Amino acid sequence: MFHRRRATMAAFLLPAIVVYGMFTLYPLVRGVYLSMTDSLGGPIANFVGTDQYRAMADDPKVTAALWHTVLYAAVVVVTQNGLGLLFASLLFRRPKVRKGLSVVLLTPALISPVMAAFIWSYLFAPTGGINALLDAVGLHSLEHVWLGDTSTALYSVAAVNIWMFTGYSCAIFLASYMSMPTELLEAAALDGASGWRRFASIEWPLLAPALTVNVTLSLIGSLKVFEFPLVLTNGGPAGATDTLTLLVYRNVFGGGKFAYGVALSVVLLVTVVVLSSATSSLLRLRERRI
Amino acid sequence: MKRSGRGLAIATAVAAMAVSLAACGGGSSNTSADGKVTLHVQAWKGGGAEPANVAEINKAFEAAHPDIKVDFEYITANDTYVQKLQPELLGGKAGDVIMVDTDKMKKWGASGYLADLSGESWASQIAPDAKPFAQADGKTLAMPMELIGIGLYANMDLLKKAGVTEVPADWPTFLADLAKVKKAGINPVALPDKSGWTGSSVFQASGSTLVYNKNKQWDADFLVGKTSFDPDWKGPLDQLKTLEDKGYVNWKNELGVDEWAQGPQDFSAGKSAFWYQGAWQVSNVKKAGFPVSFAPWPGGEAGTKPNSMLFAGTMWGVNSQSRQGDAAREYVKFWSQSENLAKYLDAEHAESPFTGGTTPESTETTAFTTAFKDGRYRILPSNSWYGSAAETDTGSKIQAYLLGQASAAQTLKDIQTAASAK
Repeated sequence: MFHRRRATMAAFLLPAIVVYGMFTLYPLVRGVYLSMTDSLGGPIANFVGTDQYRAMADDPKVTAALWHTVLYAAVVVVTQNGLGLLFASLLFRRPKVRKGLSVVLLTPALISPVMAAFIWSYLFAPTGGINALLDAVGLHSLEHVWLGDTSTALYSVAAVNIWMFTGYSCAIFLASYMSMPTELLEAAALDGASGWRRFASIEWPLLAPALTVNVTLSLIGSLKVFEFPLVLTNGGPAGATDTLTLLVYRNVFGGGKFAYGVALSVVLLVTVVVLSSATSSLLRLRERRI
Repeated sequence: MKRSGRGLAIATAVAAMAVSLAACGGGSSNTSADGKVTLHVQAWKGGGAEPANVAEINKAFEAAHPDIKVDFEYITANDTYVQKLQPELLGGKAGDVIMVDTDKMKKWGASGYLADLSGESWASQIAPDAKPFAQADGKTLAMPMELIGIGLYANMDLLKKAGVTEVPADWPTFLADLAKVKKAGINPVALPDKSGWTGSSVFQASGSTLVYNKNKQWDADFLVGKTSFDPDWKGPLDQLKTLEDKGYVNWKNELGVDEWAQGPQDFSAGKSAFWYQGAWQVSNVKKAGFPVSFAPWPGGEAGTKPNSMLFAGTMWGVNSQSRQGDAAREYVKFWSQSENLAKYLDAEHAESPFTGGTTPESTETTAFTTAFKDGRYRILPSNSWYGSAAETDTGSKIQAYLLGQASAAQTLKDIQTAASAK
């Protein structure tokens, strides 16, 4: 009886395992193999061992792109979740406007990232919407060539990412807020705890699982960022917004260095897995301690 | 009975899958019952903002070949084109005839995707200057369709307002004209450089006069290590900086403007007196309604005539996996004939890559074609060191130089490294 049930379970799982193997595991293994060849993207591919990885170690563009990717992710994760938490906290305290504003905050996430990047490239242009607005309100000194300056380009691209996905982070935090026991919050209020005290001692610890989810999702998303730097800056100016995904793309589709591009994507995969697993584990550990 | 029914259902499903998989294999063309061949052609010209008379030429081909139907597919240029074609070639699903440039010809040729066209009648007619751009390992893998210019656009209405009646031919005159235009309250020159293409290309165009007037064999010498970018290319780099030093360009601004979308729009809207782009934009700019001139970059010393810079642009390649090889070769041959290719060259404002080929003339491009006819030209060496990777790197290094983040010496050293990379 027990064996039959296991057999039935296995039979039901088999299609999923086959699909997972075909579309996830096989391409992964094949990708690692291709990264050890000299493939140009065609049928000819000679095994060259770790040559591509060694070439990568000597390539300053890879080091720069890795740094840009990590910096971009750090800026996005901190700012997006900080703003998401702030908005969630405000919306939780303002039930009358909660529904309407939640929708407004989520709207940018409904736009295609490529379309959003195109819109923002016009807004960021030297004579575009942002500078025109600053000019109109008399803040001429703040006008800037946002995407043409190496000191602001990466942050400008990150700002679009943050604008687009802050609503997501806010929605997750807000859901966590809504599930908090009201008695606990009321008791704290009756005890005379101030707003900040209530947030620091009650709300923040109870938001721990939402924080784990938000940080992990935004970290993975921002490490894999592609559309925003591609459309907004194409890695420029002077390589200031080159990310690992852009290098993968450029080598595979532009430079004809297919195997090198695949090797870069393996490095990207390892970076994403290591950083997101470590962050997630630390945050879960924190959850248990709280 | 029940068992056999289930077996029949499984057998039917398997057979259906096998049939559908079989249908997925092989090339993309087919022959209909009446023997008519459908030829799948893929290109990044012939649609969008650049119809380039491709539809007319295809119609003429079908009229001349009633047994062949052209299934033409327009795909957006650059990355999108490669993204679509690369996997299709790998999967044996790409068109019978595909558009390539030298860079793609070399890469896809090395992967065995392109048929050897060396034996075609037109192959021996390719102009000697254009031949190396269509060949790899001694084989002709593509039919060159054009040699297309990249140079300086001038809005003659705005120049007239500033008291300038002719497009400048040398560097001192260009600077003097820019000063007059600026004094008249007109934005002197637009050099949008968000993707780094304009900076890299102006550098090349300036060098086409400054470097190649001194040494016409510079590319060959560079490849054997006889010359280097430092100091040979310092002049072109200085010209880029001079434009900002004299207040005609704000590079930080230009690095925020897109070359391909916003640049053409701004120039067509009459926002600047000069602009830098390829001749493929002449037809579009003409629609703006003001008189326009397309000329070589005026990079030479006072009193000298500039060299034009040309690019071995689009070419037709035949997919080596095509099941309609004969029809594909016939299509390419049709395009190689002067009377047909002239329609394309006319729309592109380009020069013929064939010996004795017809190069259409237009008032807008007189200065450019005169330079070409006088033998004052240089073709971008995209068949040797100037591949797409070197172009991207050069653009990026020049951006750093223009932003003051790298010295001229360091920039030339970086460009040397990019150009030497294999």
